[in-house]
Amino acid sequence: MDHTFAALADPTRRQVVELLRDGPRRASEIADALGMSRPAMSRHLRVLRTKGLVDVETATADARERLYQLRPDTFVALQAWLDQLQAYWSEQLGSFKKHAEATRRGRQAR
Amino acid sequence: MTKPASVRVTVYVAVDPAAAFEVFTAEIDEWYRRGPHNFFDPVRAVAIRFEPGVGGRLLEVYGEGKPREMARVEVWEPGIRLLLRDSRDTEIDVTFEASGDETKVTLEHRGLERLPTAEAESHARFGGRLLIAWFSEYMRERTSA
Amino acid sequence: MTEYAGQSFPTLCPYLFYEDTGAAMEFLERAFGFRERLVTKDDDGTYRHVEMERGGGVVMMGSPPGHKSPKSLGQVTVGLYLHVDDVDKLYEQAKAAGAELDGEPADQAYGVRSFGARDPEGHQWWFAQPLAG
Repeated sequence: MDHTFAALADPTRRQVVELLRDGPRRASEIADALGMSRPAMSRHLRVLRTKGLVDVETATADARERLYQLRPDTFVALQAWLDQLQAYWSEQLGSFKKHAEATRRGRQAR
Repeated sequence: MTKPASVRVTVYVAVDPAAAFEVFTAEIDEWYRRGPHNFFDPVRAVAIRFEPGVGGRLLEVYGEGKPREMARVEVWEPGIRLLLRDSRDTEIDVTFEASGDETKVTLEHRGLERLPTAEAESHARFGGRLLIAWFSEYMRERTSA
Repeated sequence: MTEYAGQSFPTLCPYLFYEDTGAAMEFLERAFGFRERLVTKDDDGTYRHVEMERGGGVVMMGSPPGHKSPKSLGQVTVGLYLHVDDVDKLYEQAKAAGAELDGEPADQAYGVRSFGARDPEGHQWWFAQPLAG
């Protein structure tokens, strides 16, 4: 997964991925949404494609415009952070409970 | 498209609420599980500690140099509630409630929908710059190739 | 128990499907004495994943698309059988909470005192306390 995170280290590319979470977009739409020129955006899109984060297909209505979308397995990986956050807080609270009971058990309110 | 907004974890601890709050805050350095992505600077960090009271900070402490703020205290009610806000405007709300002989301790991390998902993921990999990036060792193992 | 993701899981964890997860959580706590241990919600208020525990048992809950509770199907297909410490006390608690009860606790030939009940979406529960001696 190393390459995924390298591709996401850039803030613009993170924004592109975030935008594509809502559905496929044309290259021009992505550039406009992020307030960037087409050539500049095309560089970022190339990195994301090379790293396997996005797929591209030719838009049927206009053969010149290409549609970018998130690859499904990338999408799953991005969602996984929530599972990890759940695990993180569960572990920290479990550690807190263990420590509190080891050091303070028996000193009840009553 | 809906986004995750909150995670809430509950444990029951066999101590009274005042003791639970005190251990949570005054002794955080003793129970907090460390990992390579839990600190802004895991190499230099020597401790984590609270400045008590509203407006106090949760700090990452170094041997030399100024400590680094991880979050700020918005509510400090011993035995009742602790509310923190981090630099990404997410909240960590910890409540303490007597339940029989135990204390029900609930931690809710809210405002997650404000985080760009990709950013949370990349920060988890590269080391925390925000509270949400405090992930433990096994999480790191899971995200490595 | 299996330990991972910061928690303990019994070998078997039923996953219960509900249309209204929030109401189900509140009912399971009030009527059957479950306690929540993990809740994740989306920004539109939907419950993404819930875990509740009772006496070392864990149930997971949610409303994934394409899954229904007995209420909308008109048919129960699974029952959940729990062993408890004080079945008569739990019966009073369930009754006070308005659970749909299958009679009062009764001693069974197979060594427990038990009663059955359904939650508001029709999931079938049984609670049993081993008979002494």
